[in-house]
Amino acid sequence: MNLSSLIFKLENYWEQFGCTILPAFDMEVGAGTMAPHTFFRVLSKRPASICYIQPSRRPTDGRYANNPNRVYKHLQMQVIVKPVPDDIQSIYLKSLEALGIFAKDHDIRFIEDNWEAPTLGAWGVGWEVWLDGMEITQFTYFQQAGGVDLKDPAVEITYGIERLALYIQDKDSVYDMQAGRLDTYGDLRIMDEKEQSAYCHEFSRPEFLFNMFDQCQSEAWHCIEQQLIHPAYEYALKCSHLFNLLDTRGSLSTSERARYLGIIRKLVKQCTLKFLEGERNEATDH
Amino acid sequence: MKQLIIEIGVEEMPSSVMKDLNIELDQSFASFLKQHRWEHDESKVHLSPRRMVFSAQGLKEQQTAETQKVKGPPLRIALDDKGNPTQALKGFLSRCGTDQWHQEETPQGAYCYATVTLDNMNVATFFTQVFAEYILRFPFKKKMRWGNYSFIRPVRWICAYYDSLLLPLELLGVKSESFVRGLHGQEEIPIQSAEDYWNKMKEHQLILDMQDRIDLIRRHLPLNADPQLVEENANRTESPFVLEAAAPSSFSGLPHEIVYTVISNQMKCFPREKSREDKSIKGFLLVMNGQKDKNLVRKGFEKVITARLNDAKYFYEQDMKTPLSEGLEKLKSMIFMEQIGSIYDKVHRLVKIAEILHLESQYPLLKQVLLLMKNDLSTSLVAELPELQGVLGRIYAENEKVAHEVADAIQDHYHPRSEGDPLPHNELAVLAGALDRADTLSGAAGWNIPFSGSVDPMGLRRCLNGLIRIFTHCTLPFEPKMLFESCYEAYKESDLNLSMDKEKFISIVDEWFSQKVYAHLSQHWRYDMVQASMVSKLENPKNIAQKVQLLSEVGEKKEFRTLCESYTRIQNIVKKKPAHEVQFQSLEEDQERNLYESFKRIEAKLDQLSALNMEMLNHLFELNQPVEDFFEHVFVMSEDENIRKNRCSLLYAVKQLINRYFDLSRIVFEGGKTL
Repeated sequence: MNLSSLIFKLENYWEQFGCTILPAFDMEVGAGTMAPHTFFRVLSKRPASICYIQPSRRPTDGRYANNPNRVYKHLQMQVIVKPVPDDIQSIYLKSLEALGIFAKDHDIRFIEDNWEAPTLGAWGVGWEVWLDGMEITQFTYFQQAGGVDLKDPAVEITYGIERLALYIQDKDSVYDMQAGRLDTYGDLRIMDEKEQSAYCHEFSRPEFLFNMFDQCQSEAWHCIEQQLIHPAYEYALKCSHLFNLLDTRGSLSTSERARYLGIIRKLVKQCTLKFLEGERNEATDH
Repeated sequence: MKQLIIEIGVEEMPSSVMKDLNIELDQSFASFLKQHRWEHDESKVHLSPRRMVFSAQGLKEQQTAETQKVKGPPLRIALDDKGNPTQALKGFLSRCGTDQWHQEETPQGAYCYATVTLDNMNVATFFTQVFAEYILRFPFKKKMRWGNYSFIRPVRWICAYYDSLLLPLELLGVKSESFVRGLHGQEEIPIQSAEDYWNKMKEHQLILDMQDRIDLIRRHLPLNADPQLVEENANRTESPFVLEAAAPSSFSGLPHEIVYTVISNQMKCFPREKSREDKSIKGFLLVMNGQKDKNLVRKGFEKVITARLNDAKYFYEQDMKTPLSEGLEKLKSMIFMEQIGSIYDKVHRLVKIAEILHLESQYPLLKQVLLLMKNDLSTSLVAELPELQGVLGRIYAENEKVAHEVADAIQDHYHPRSEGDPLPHNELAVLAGALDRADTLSGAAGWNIPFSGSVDPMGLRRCLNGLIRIFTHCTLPFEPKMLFESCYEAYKESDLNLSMDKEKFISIVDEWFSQKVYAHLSQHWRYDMVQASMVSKLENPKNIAQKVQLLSEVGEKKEFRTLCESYTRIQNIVKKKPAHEVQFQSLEEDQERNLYESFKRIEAKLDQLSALNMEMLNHLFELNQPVEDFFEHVFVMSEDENIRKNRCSLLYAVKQLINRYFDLSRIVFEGGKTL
């Protein structure tokens, strides 16, 4: 089963379950959780049932395509559901059956692993799902986002797509994986991985990144003042990616690091409060 | 004999809390039944990742009936002028659910009493109501929220039987039904009665008892398997099966410690070493949950371990490209404690402390140890496998052909990490470890960073315990007081000056130190002897321990009691330090001259003595006779002020000689304090 059909099968499964399949969020994010698809949906009081593939960038993990398991950019499949059905674990396990993985044959375990994203003021309680020892999914009940207790905690199911494909295709290196009928993952990714790794670790210019961080920050505050929450949040995400780039270059002293993280956290917190305020006003208007 | 069984099915509980939770629940459930007057033979709570099982054997059908006499309002306000019940009495009776009452005399006057019949509910009513409330209110440590509910983890099914009677229990939106779920991927298991429950569990190889799971796993492991890892596996499985698997051979070049840690700490499997001598890893044992396809599961684990070792190998090779000594620079950005700077700052302070203590001439390699010992913190592999901090430092140092005692010290200076952990056996590690710990404690003391058993994010308690153990059991070329004074100086010379003066600083450290030393020693020795042996600030715990041991050997002897009595007697007479030293020519009586001479002689002998042994105590006992003679013949409170003062000075000097070692006024004798 190549990577493309693996994604189709999962998307098909969740579409039949009732999820809307969204296109990936079109900006750099460190994890699928950061996409507004997840962030604002879990905050909102409306029910949610969505699924999307999110390329996630982790500059520190860039390995010039030399490491068979670690990559600068990898794919996550994100499923957000609330209210949470009682049999959500079985629903999840059935999605694996769609890939030919049956719990009766495999040792599938839910191991305690609580998840936290301090910059998003978000945390959840949950598990990493082990498939015969391999962590294939993060399964979380969101408890807080933007520092706010969620009234109806959503479940967040995050599949590590490359991991699953590696397992199913029985390959040792991510680059040997069949991505579609013609391409291997290597065909598609090696150049990008090499250049992005080189950029993150060696060639990015900290002055430029610092400068851009400041500009994005300032634009984010400007948007918040104008009640433009989504644009503000997107600029906060920009800041987050720039922060990761600076961190990878080792350009941040400890106190700077804390300060920049604080800025992002503050922006996200403001977006959260404005978003909730907007929802409340909407409710009173009707 | 009837039995009760309640299984609450949950999404996987965290394995880390299960052991304590099981004990807590077991005790709590037993006292819950007792408190509610349920006669039964035995109650038990079992936990597995997805099940919380409450059971009671020989449970009666009904609570034991009981009546209780309840005290009401005083008679004087219970009836009005006409003898009719007042609101106070009526309210009391309605609360008790009766209209019968009587009066009784008490020391406070007459009161109304009523007899209340306590509920004697049947099993079904009680467990659907009172038990449900009990378990929902149970103070779980790791609760989570889902929907409108909160519990340790989401409740997904309930099965409750009293013999074959299904109890209609409802918890958090889930109603009890006549089945339980098996492992993931198994069918539901129908349950017809409490007895049937146990049979079905056995049939499906679901092992409810934690200890049974531990025993089962252990039977398939080598004897030296890590007990904590066994327990963790037992709490991650409900139906454990142990499988053998092979370690990938391509990693034979990787140090075995790394392979071991990846397999045991990251994958929770049990590495198998080739032999006692050859520690390289030939394979591992894994614990599978349920009878799954062994080949698939084994292959999966092998694949993951291969991938993880690949990662480790990458980092290892990456780390080796930079000499360990260059890691120091990177420690600048690693904050050790906010107030006391980075690890880089720490290392430079340690070098300074060693200089102040003039250690370099005797230990020429120490400086190299100090400058290398924290550098592995900047390597990628320690970032990946923090538990290998120190071990990797040693390995990298060995690869660079650093002197082997230096390399060993890099690893060993972290010992002892905990109470049962061995002490370092290498001299340089002992020194480096002592300096490191004292520096941390000094920073904490100097910046008033408090710690307690429950709040101690910096691990200061462990640090203190470790330092005391090092001083007690190892030989160091300095005393604790010197060490901490040097730490103070080193901080002063850095730009992180401590927030207090030296005296205050020493007294804080001394308080931490003496509390711990006292707590340790008084576990094994008489507390008064421990107190009596602690006489100076930041005294070496080894000396204290030796002195306590000496005291305990002579505790029953007559001369010891005499010495204690003399000590206390002198203390009662001479309360303050006299202004002048004793003048021999002003001593008049033979007995006081004799005491003075004995004192001088004994003092000289004690000055010569380097060890704290019985000889020291025997010398002190030699004071007994002259002191006794003195008190028998000499009157201290002479009318002549000079003579009186001179005698006080003499006695004080004698007391101080004893006080070099002991404060004997602390000793308690049976029947009360001395004198």
